[in-house]
Amino acid sequence: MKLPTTIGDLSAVVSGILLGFNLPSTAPFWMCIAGSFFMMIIVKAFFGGLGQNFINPALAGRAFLMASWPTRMIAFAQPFSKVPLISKIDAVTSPTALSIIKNGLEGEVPTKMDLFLGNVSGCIGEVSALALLIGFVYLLIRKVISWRIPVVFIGVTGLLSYAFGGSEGLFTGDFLFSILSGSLFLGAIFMATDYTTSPVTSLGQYIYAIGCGAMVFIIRKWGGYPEGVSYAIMLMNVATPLIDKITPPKKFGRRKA
Amino acid sequence: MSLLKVSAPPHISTKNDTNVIMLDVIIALMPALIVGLLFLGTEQCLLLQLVRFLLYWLNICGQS
Repeated sequence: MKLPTTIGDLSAVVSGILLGFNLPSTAPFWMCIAGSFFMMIIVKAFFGGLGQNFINPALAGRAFLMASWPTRMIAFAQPFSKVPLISKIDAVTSPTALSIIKNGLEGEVPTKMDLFLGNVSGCIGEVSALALLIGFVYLLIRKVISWRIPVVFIGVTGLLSYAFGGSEGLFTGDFLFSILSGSLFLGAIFMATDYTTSPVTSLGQYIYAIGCGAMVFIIRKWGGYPEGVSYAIMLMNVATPLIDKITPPKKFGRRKA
Repeated sequence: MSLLKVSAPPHISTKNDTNVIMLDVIIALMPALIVGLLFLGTEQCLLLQLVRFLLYWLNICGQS
């Protein structure tokens, strides 16, 4: 195959970091290899490489691993439990805040401050909302992404959880808890904003982000999984061509008919 | 790699290329990486292994 080497565009590095962020820290190394193989070869290379994939590669890799090794994917280490790199002892694991609430598991629900700073169990990249927000602000300053998708996505999830997520009727849900828990910040800032798999126009991006937020709420409330961010984004990724079709960009340099 | 970028008009021409954008994304991911390292421990080295594996694999693909 006489194809140019595309390692220099760094997109594979970003995908690799994002897949790593989606794994629990107890994941064995061969899961990383299997996940990145699926992500790079099947999802990205088979469809034509950068800019041609129809769903987010890192999320597809995560979904592949979730379907293949579900118990290993939810073996989240407790924060500050020292785990040596090579060890036969299983790490101390604990359920995430969302799975405690969803499945009624034993365990203390973390405070909002812990959720904000990252002192909770979860995937590597999702624990700290603060650190992800710092990254978001940097990307906004550098104008790499626009505020639309992340802000609308997080806002819609929070508002729907506030309105319908409470156990004592309407408008008793917990807005802050619903947006700080799980991988909502990671997904909304770094995955939903992928250029390839999100709509082109700003109107399309609003539709996409509202769809993502609503899907997260629906999966969290009625779905089988405690966390639905990855599946919500993938579903809206697949809907992106349709959204682009109904929201075409304005044509410049043409008289109104 | 300079591709025709598909986005809503009007278009502005800049020196930004894919690797500039991706480098920005990598920088933006660093705070979360550091926090993950601090809070969840040494097994985070898996992440570095993953990146190393990707670089290695893509080099093979490019040369063959």
